[in-house]
Amino acid sequence: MSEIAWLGSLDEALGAAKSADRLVLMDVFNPT
Amino acid sequence: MTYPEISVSEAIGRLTAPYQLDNTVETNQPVLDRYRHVWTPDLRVLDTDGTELYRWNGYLPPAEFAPQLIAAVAHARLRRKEYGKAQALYEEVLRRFPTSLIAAEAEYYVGVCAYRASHNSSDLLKAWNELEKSHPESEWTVKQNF
Repeated sequence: MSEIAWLGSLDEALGAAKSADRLVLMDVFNPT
Repeated sequence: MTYPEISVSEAIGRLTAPYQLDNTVETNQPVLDRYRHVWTPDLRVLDTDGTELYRWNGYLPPAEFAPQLIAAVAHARLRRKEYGKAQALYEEVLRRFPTSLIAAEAEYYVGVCAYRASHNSSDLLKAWNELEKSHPESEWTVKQNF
């Protein structure tokens, strides 16, 4: 088991990706 | 559940900045509209300016999701013309998940990366010959033969 540190917004994810030479993984889900 | 599996969470943590959003939340609608969202699960790999580089629908069992994710980031790196990084990720798929559904596609793109980097057609043919031997029934073998 391992936790994923999901980021709170698209802008936050884009900024994190830019500063760490990563790409954004965006997962759109439906909770129902 | 796919995400708690270590092979999946490790790949997400190592390769991506992950962002998850609920498509039933009204405040998420601008992002959903921006990316022409239609169906969940909807997974995208985005460049740092928000440009979509790769997409797929559907969760998979961990043994398939992890290689799908690694290949997705490889595709994104390839579109950024980062041939070495892309090839290393496709080769990781082949090394760690050789029987996965996406292995043949990864092997196809190993050749593409090698050729794009070297401009030597023998690099492409070498990888594609390996693909034909390892995955003779794959659609990717059909594509490379056509």
